[in-house]
Amino acid sequence: MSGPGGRPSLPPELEALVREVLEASGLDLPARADVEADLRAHFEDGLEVGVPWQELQGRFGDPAEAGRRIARARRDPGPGRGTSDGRWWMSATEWWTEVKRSVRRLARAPGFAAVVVLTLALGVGANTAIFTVVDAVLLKPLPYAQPDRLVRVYEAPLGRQSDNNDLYLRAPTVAAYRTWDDVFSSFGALYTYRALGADLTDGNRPERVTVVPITTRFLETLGVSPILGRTFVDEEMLAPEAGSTRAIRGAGRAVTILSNRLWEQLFDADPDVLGRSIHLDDVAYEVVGVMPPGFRDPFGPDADAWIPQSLQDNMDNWGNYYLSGVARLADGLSVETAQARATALYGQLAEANPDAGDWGPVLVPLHADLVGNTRRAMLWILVGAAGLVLLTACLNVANLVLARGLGRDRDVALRSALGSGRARILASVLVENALLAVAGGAGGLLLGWGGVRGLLALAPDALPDTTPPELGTSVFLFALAVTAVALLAFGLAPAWRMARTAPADVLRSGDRSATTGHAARRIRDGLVVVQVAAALVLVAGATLLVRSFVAILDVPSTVQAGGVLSFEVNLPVARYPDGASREAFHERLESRVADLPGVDAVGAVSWLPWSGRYHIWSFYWDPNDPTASGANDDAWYGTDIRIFAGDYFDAIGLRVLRGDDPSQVDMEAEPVVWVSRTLADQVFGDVDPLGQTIEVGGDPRRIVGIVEDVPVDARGRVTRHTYIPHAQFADDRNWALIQTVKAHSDLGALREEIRGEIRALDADLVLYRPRPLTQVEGTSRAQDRFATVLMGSFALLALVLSLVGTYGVLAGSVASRRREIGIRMALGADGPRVRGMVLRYAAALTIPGVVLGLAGALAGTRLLDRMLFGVKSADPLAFVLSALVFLGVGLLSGWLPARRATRVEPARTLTSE
Amino acid sequence: MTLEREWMRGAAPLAVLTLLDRREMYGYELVEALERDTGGLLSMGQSTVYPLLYNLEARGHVKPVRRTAPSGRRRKYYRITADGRAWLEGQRDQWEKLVTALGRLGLNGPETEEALP
Repeated sequence: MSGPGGRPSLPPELEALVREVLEASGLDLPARADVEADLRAHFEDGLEVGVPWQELQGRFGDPAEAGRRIARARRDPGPGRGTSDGRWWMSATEWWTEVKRSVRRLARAPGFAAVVVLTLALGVGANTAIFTVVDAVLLKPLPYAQPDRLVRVYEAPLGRQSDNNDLYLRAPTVAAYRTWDDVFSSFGALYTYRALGADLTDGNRPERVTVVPITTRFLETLGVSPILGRTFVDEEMLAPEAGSTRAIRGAGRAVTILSNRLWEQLFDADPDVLGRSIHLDDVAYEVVGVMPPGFRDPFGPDADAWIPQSLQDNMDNWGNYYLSGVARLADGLSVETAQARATALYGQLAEANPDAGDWGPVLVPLHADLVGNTRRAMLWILVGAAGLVLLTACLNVANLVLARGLGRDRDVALRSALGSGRARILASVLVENALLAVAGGAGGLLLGWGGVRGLLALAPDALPDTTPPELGTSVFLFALAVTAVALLAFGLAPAWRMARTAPADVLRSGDRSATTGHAARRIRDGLVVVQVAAALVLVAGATLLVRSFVAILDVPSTVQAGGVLSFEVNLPVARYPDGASREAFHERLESRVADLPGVDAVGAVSWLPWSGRYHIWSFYWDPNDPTASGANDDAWYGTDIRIFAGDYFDAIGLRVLRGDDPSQVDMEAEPVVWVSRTLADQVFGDVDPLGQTIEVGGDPRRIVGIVEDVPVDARGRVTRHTYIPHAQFADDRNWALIQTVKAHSDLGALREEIRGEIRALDADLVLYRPRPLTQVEGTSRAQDRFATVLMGSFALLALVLSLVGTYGVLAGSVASRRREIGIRMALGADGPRVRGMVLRYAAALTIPGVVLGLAGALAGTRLLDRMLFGVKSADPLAFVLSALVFLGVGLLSGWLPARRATRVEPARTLTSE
Repeated sequence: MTLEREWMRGAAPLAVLTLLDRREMYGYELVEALERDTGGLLSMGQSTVYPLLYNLEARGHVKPVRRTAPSGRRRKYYRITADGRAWLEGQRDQWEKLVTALGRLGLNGPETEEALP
């Protein structure tokens, strides 16, 4: 007889025995083949020495028992502390076996695996997305040389509360700062008005570009060199020769450094660009340098070109605050020491120059200055919120894993009793949880990436521009770290517990169900309570932010933004050299636009509402000095200057409270102004402002009207405004005016019609930045909207997770207590009583969680104080709402299990085992 | 007569390793030796021996070695390892202590007769 592999086959009874042993062992190849070979060899050896097969069969023992023992012996090495031969660690093959086994186990429970992976992915994803933004904005150093040595320099009044915006520097002080080698190794400044631009006429069609006038050493201070050419030299900082046209006020010689983008756009990245010219506002500027790609000017991230800034005109002007300064601290100097030295040096400067006034320098680290305190606070709060989401997710997963683990308690106990090492059991649980964590982490990274793009789309204006967020190494490492933390949080505890489980206890209890064990139940309940608490904190925070945002939306507006189109047209000095030509253009444009169908009012202003403070000047008013001579030092006040033209007030719906409407005033008769309500109240008090003469911008002007206030930000903040008619100002300076057109027709179509009108008047002019006024209003709310939407999303996520978590525990509890329920029902408990039992359990889980959560929320929401508007962080309504929501969630999550509980048939549960 | 199961659990690995300490054996040979040399006291069915051998192998106390038998067949012999010897030494030590302790309590083995002082 011949068997497999050509060996002589055994008698059929022994073959059957071998087969039975192998079947009972349940081994896979190649273990099975090994065992088969051993058994065959054993019988063959016996037959060889003449032992009859019946005896061999009889002496073998129970084949099924043998198979099981063989299986155990081959899978689990036997009693002892370690895995095999007392080792604590496992070999690579053993790990790989565990991995394969875990994958098989998880594949048999796809629902569980899917829920866990998704939950983890959400938690990790939220954190990764936020971290990407925080990394770019707060953590990554600015893209300049040794950025921690850079400071922003301000001038601020000493002691006295300033009426002016104390951001900007004066030309004489800049000149002084440059000489303070003990404080600054390098000092640079730039012309501060952010919206500076020029019309570039070299491209296919005229385009408005952002031009920033800078002093020497501005780029050197930042530590970034051009990739082509050079930076400016001192001669170029001088005022242009007499007679030559200066397009941009304060500009020096007609040279320019281009941004990389503009260089590529205009010159196709031609390396021979140096010496060629571009035309800004019709003036030729020679290109002397090109900046590297990705360079971002900290004060003008979208700058297209830089030109030299001449300080000469203003060297004696101690009243014009118009420069932004950045400095590099001298080696080894701390900011505090530098500040002290600068203050001392400034004191000497002030002594030598009485016009300097009681001012002093203020140094702020550049990174902090660019980010801003509010934004920083907001970002860290969002990090905390994301952390809470992760906590909720991990608690959820821990509960799921624990429940699953408890279901395997009996099998594990058997393994343990029969000798599986503790390390091996630990390993199998760890591997399974690690696989889940890795899958969840990978999913989280993907979600995070999508989340970042969503964040950027949501808030293009909410975040500073200097370093764009990207999915780089640090983000990847962060996601890894978060995943590892999550794994520790939900993975180790069940594993350790399982390894410590005394097998005898489990076997004795005889209960195979999923949630046995009082300790296990308490742990699961505890997890749910903490989860509810964490989610409640988030919901309370989100509720506060939503209420705050609603309050912002509700701020009554003195401006009617609907149906108003704004745009800019800039008149190059070359072709509109004086006030008359500029005024003539504006008049022609206004009358043509006013004639378009659907247009109700046309006006223009130098700076729109909701755009912050701008053009802050001083004006002089002394009731005892009707000539407004400026002699009384205490009679100077700060105000936001607005130059307006046409029917501006009508166009934006701003009411003239008292006095004359601009249309009624003869602009050629005398210099006049309108003032805002706040200015009238704060400066004039009981005196009637109408008819008073103030000096502003060097000219005495009579107040002829009082208008309503205009908000400068989304929260309705108002400042003192002074409105000067363009007709009386045009001669003085060439300020760009933003046109405002009120219409009841479609604004998009209107825009194109206006473009046509402009082209008809002057083909080289650019219609710049057309946008509805409502968009301006919306942009001002960008940061608040960003925070609210994000926090709201986190809160919703946590709420859903909490609902799922509570439901899971309640459902599991009902499932495991079927016998108890059956008994109770058999003893007379009816549906409502049983439901009541479940709902009481739901309440026992929810109420402590709500209490804990409220306490946490009270503490945590205080961090939101700075961000809130119109609502306090301890707002009772928000807390009550949040508590109600979770009590509702608790009841809801208990509803289905409660119903299922009443469907238990007592007879069946009592008789089944 | 065979020993009770509790005793067997402790004694079986000790017995197998003691045998393998003398020389390497193959499965069938080992079963026969256990039966014969212990007078049947430590006789276990093959259903017990093989799991035990696999166990010892997994713990690193024995190692399988393939040899060609006189009949020309390839046979799997089991050889004790250094770890196995170390474990065996420890077990022997335990065994002697056990016998001594029980002897002091008056449980005399066939060879040890320790008179109490």
